[in-house]
Amino acid sequence: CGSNESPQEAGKDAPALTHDAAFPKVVWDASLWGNPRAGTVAVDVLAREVEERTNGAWQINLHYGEAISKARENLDGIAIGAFEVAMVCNFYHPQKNPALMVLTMPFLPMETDAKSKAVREAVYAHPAVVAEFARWDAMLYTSTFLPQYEFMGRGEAPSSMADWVGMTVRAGGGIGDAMVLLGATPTSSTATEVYTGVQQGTMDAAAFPFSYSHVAYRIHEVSDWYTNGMAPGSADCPVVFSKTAYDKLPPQYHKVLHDVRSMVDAAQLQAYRDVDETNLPLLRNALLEVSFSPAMRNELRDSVGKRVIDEWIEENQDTFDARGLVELAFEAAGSTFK
Amino acid sequence: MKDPTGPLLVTLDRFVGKAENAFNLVAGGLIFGLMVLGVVQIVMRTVFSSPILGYIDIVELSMVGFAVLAIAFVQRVGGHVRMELVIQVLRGRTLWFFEALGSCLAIFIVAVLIPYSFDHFQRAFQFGDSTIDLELATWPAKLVVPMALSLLLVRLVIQLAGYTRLFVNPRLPPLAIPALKRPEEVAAAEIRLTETSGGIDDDAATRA
Amino acid sequence: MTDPFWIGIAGVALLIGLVVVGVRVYIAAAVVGFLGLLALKGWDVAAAVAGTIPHSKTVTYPLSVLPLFILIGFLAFHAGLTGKLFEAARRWLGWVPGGLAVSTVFASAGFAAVSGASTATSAVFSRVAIPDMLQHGYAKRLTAGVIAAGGTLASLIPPSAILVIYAILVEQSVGKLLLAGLLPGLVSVLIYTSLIIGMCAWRPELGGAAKGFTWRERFASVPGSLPIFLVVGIIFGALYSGVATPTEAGALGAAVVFALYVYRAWRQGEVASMGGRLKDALTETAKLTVMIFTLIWGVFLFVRFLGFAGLPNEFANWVVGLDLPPLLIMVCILLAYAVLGMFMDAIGMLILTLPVVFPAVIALGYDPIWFGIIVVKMAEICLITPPIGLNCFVVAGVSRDLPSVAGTEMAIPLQDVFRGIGPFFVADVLTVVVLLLVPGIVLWLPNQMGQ
Ligand code: NA
Ligand code: NA
Repeated sequence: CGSNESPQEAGKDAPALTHDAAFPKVVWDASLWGNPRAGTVAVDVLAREVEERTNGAWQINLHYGEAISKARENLDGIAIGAFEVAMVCNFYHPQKNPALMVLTMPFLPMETDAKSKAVREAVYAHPAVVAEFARWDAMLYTSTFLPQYEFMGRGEAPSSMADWVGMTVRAGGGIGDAMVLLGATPTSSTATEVYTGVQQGTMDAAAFPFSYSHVAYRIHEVSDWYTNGMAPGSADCPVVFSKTAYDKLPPQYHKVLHDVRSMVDAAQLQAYRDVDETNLPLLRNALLEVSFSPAMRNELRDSVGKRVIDEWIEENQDTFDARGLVELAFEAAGSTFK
Repeated sequence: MKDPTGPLLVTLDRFVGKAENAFNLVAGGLIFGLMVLGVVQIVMRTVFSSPILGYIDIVELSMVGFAVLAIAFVQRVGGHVRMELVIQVLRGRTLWFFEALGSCLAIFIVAVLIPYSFDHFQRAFQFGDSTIDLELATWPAKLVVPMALSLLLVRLVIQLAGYTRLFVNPRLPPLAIPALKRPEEVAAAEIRLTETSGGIDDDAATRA
Repeated sequence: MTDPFWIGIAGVALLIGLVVVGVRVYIAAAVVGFLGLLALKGWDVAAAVAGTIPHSKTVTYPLSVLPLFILIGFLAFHAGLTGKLFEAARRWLGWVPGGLAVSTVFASAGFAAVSGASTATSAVFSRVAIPDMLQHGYAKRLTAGVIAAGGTLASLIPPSAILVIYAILVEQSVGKLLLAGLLPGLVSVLIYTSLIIGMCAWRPELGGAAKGFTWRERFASVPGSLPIFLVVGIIFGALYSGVATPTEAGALGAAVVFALYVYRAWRQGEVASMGGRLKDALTETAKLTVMIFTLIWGVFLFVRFLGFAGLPNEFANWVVGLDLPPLLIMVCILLAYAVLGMFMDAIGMLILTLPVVFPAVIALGYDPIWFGIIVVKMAEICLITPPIGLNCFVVAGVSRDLPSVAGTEMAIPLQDVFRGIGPFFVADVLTVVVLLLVPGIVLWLPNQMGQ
């Protein structure tokens, strides 16, 4: 055991003053799943920056690998006060966050980083979203900006919209619904099973955040083609805080959180760009790229995309202002939902 | 020999045992259903190329039925794993003391788990929670846990009473507690399982 | 070292104490886990976290394969697949020195490919092989040893409940682990076989050859054993090709065995008692399933506490910081398992130790799939070592009840079983050493998966 004072020695319930009286000691736990990866850069940077800017007084312990909670129960963990920070994915539990599911809608105007950021920020600020997270004693800090999905598959590449008819595809939520309207057959599978599924032809194609997840799950090794520019939609995996824990923080810590956010976001977006830089040449060399022009994408958006969104609004309007959410999302990107 | 609690214990044991048997049978039925569902899934996918959407969701929701429902049944028959190195050399009062101590610990933790696993259900029920693909509500599955644990609690209380009765008077015949399984007896149980049929084939050629 | 770390150490010590005095493992682990969380986080958080565990740790899709594998074992037995398998092995392999013992090893390996439970396999083959071997003048010790050791193949050769549990505990691919067990299982078969042939060639009084089968007789025995190969083919083909997930492959395997069972009952006019037998098989399966799931969530409550305490990480760092050769540390870990396994059930031992041991092993640079096979082999060795070698009790127990045939007494006393196990124990240690030195035996097949 070292004789140096360790920041872990004091629990969060017993705040003690460090050498610097401006920074009382705080220890937070963060619940994460899997290994450190591009998608967890935001939390990594947040923990590092917070510690640095408080002279080590505020420590966020990152627990990877579901060590302190199952990923799908992270909101429960926040609600019961088991930990103060967690990453959650909206599509892991649609009914835990029905309003945030708006970010799984197909063909939202989020093709660029700037638009993706603007849309997600606007949605986070919407009262329906704030309220549904408040039920879990949670507040949204920032998004991890999951990239737009693309399809990757084996066999004949779809050269026209008609080619999607009868294809078995793994795609969740709103993207899955849009594919059904195009005539595809949806199938469910755990992410780790997609590799063998595509290889064996039990599914023809799978949608994943591009290019990050395709390569992480090694789908490209068994695929012949991938779409680029289709950008059928995304999902959202925000970093959330416990409201109770946040409210207990001294104001100078609130300021720290506020100050580091742009840096956290920039690092997260950069992480995906770095991944793309390695992956894209790899994919272009090995597979056939099925490019979608903006015009083709717009056509999909106006046909199947709109129908899925309309249905979603109808299903949810009684529970929360679903239409307002969609309109807000489009507005934030400088377009209009009609 | 005076045995004021014995008859009551036997009655309770039988009564609760019926519920436990029923839960165990439901669990067995669910396992059979899981087998059928898996075959249907393979056939639908390979022959008709239209897999059951939400197959994983359905499996996950039904799992709680065979994962926890029969927990009290297994407690009754002493099927939960333990290390018997020390317990098997104990005799009389000392043995019943340690068994009763184990029961007290079990009652304590199960009594904590019941209300808080009920809270877990209630969060899902009030705030909403669902599976990924079909968006099926998860609260019914979560409710099974406090139900099964409540039956377990009743079983544990009966067993504590059984051990306490023997601690008070070690000469009474053991009632409403699982038989102490010495390794030889565990082996004997394994053997009985394979006795019912089939091990040695009746095909005449085998005997030739 | 931090406070949470020492709370974690105290928790581990208390857990060991409770388990030793006979508290059921799920209760001991849950109580200690809860108390640990209480010390770290206070009542409200500890109780609330505990309340989420039984549901969230059991309801995960990959675990759903367990009851199906267990069901296959129960149904395969009722479907009468074992006797025919032994007969076929006898006709084809009986001619070598110690031929009946070699046949028992091969038939056990064949049955292992439909059964996931070691002890049940030993019980089945005690009935099938003891009368035959003793009548042919085989030494009791060799007879008992080969049956007890042959049973352990069931956990290495897929399907295997214990390999699934390992995969879930350490978050590895269930399919890969199941495939990884096959070659080491076959290596065990080879080592057992060489050992038997060597022993019997050197000392023919241990057991001779069973000669005199014509090729016609040999081929006549094939159809009866085909169903087993069908089931094996289905499970393996599905896993290896990836056409089905382990759960689906388990469902298909169980359904095929179930169909064979129904066919057999119908052919023998036992349809009336079929319902009762099926109910027995299902309730026994349910019982074993709950036992395993309860152990899993009980121990996971303890693991949550270790997670908050950060103990697995610190233990891993400590082991890595020892600055000893990884192989030496690995040997120490295996010795610890050998000692623990003398007193504990294999599944309980694994669930209890892996959360702490596994991160350390990975930090040392060992492959997670490889370690799974090694550790399961260790757990299986424990089934044949005194003082509590369950397979040995089974062999002694079954033999006691077998009727004597033509003046040959079938009972094999427990001390003879344990003595007979001696050479096979050495063979198992040899297998572990081979796997330590040639990890490729474990890793080759899973790495071929889907290529
Ligand atoms: Na097996
Ligand atoms: Na042993």
